[in-house]
Amino acid sequence: MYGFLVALQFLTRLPSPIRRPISLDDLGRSVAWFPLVGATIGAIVVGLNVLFQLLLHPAVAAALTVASVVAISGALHLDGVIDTVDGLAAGGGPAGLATMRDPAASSSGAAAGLLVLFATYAALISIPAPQQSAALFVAVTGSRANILLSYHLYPYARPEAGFSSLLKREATRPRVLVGLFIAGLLAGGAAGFPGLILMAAAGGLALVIGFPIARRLGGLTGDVHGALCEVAQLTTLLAAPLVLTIGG
Amino acid sequence: MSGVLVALQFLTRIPSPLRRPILEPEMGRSMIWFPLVGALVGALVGLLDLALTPVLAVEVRSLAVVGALALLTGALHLDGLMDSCDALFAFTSAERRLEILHDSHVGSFAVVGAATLLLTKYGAFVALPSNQRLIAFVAAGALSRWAMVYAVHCYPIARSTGLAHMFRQHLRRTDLILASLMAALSVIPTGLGGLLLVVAAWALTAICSRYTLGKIPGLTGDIYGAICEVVEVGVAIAFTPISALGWPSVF
Repeated sequence: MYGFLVALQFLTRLPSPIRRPISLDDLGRSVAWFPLVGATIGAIVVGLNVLFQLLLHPAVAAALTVASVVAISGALHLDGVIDTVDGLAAGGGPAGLATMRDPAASSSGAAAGLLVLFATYAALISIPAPQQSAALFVAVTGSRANILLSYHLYPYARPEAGFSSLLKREATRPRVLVGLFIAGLLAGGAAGFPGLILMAAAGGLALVIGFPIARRLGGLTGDVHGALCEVAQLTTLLAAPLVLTIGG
Repeated sequence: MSGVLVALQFLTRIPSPLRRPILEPEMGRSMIWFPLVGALVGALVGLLDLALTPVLAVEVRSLAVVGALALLTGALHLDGLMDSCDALFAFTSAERRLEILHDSHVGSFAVVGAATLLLTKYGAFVALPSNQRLIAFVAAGALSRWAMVYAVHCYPIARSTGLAHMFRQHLRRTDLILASLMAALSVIPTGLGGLLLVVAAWALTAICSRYTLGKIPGLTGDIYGAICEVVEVGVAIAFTPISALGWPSVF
């Protein structure tokens, strides 16, 4: 359970009950808990969305739900989108990796972050109200579970050790299998078989997008894993009306 | 009366008839007129919205109003919001936060913060009841500029130099009262529900200010801008459910 709290602290800005410094080993191992943290965020976001939909106009409700996802995550994965595009715009390779470390955003990175955010809003608002809860839950849970898988599949780009090299080391095959199994159960429970298809398709697309990025950068970094998480989340929401309607 | 022109020149890009340098005490005292200038900005975008109503859908008009607000204000408050997001949401020390507020670079939190705020503003404008959009823009404009006056007067400032200091030094309690009266006048068209809008604006101002004071020892000009943007969106969001209550209104 301690690993769950560490992962919760890493992936969210929710108040953490952990009062002592977290060891690097514990941080690395927490990667196994990413799917359950995803499900926790997903449940909170679904609850908030239901509340917003009840009280407010759909246009405001969708905006506030998207804002909630960003706020709960502390914009962690959107920051990944911005930094990744910064790095790619700087030409990839070692220069790109150095650019990604720079806290200043380039105009390409800013534009990418903006577009992902607006697309997420447009995707959410186009989902019929009865399907929104299932779609949101699968999107948030599946995209966080997918981080575990992308850490497992792709090499780490930087030569020096960091948070991400620890997460990479601990994203072992048994942990990935258990994590994906749990995420699959949850997505299936929330949206049935179509939920599984949705999670697999969105995660698969994110992983495919990771391939050219890994070639340009010589591997992936934490920022890129975050960016792929955003891609998976967005893709799930975009495809949800189609998949859930046909499947349901 | 030159105070209103000083406020207009500071808060907007509307061409100013003032042809002389502005004195520091004038700047501080011009804050009395902030709510009036806010109401004027709201009225202008409201009229734009009204003029476009026969030809454009509500989504496009709402987007146009979001853009017009940024243009009219020269993105003054949005700039403050972006710098504030970078400074307040980073994992760092109070000293470093103050340095980031000074830094002109844009970081990820600034981009995400501005994008999220603009998105929410757009959503709130789309939702406004079609026959009350103008009075909603006026209320949001006036209350958001009033929020800055309230924050300047009621909370400590971070630095003993700069714009925030200049404003605070010359702002008196009676000025805040006058500004508050002007803000109250601007929500009269909303009817009794306007009271709830004032409460919402005040609560958001207090929440933002206290949150900031937990991270840095005082407020700065950038933080005031951020408060203005947050209150503007908050009032716009609150307007629709409050008007749905059906409380007595003058219209």
